[in-house]
Amino acid sequence: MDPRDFLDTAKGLLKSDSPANCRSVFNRSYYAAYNVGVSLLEEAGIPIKKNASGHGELDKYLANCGINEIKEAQTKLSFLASQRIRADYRLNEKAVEKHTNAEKAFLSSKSIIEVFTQFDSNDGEEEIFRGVNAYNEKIKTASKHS
Amino acid sequence: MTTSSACFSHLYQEINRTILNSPERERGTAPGETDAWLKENAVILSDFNDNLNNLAPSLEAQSVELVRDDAAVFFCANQSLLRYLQLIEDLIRKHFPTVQKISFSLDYDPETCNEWVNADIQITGDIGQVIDWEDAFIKEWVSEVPYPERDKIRLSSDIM
Repeated sequence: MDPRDFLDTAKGLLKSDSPANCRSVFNRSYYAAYNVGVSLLEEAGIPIKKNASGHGELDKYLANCGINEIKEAQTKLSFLASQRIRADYRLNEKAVEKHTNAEKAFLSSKSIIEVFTQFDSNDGEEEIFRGVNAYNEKIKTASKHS
Repeated sequence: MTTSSACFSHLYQEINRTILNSPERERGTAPGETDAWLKENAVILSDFNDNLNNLAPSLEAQSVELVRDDAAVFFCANQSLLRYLQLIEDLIRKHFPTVQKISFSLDYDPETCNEWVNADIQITGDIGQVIDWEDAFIKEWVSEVPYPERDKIRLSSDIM
């Protein structure tokens, strides 16, 4: 399944302004962008764990791939992640029940996915692989010297 | 702890009191480590206070309500993030001209146990405008703050 389909689900949820729908928009919007990010890294040859620690791995590699557009998209994704946590777990939080904020989450996800999609080509994936590889080498060297 | 922009002369004392009286610190720090921990953080707190005093006049002009909870300040002090807490306030004011309120609170992910500080802003404006402001903010935040520090303070906007 193409994770972008979650974004279509989010768009459908925006037809109602009920609190449950608005909260669910945050959830689907986040997971659409998260899974497109995971696909991008995996296609670049960087495996991501299929459990809760995958979120941290994705953040770490995107943030350290050396490409500014990707780093900015990762930051936007981490902002969306914290809003998703509120939408799913903090039932006293009212901001995630507002239609305007839910629509913004949907648009943020869309723009993150647009950035990831720009790099969804052989050249883009190679650039990401080289950047992440350089980061991993730097970490290995630093840990040898410590 | 709640501070308005008029209360900056007391903020250093409030932060210091927060750290000195923090139950987390009492639980997690041995008596021998306490002095070293305090010395290390005194410099950061002093710099933070200087920065806040310099910033106070511009804050007064903008009448932005500022709310910092104790846990968020303690987390930032403990993780050497106070300078970035200062920076994010500055960047929010720079990039979100209609900001009315900035609130800092500690949050965590129950699935991974990760912790971070939420920088919640209340703003007016249409969605497209807010997204443009946020994009400009993110560009500068990413260029100024290294990872993983930048992941430990996260912006969230509430469009009024």
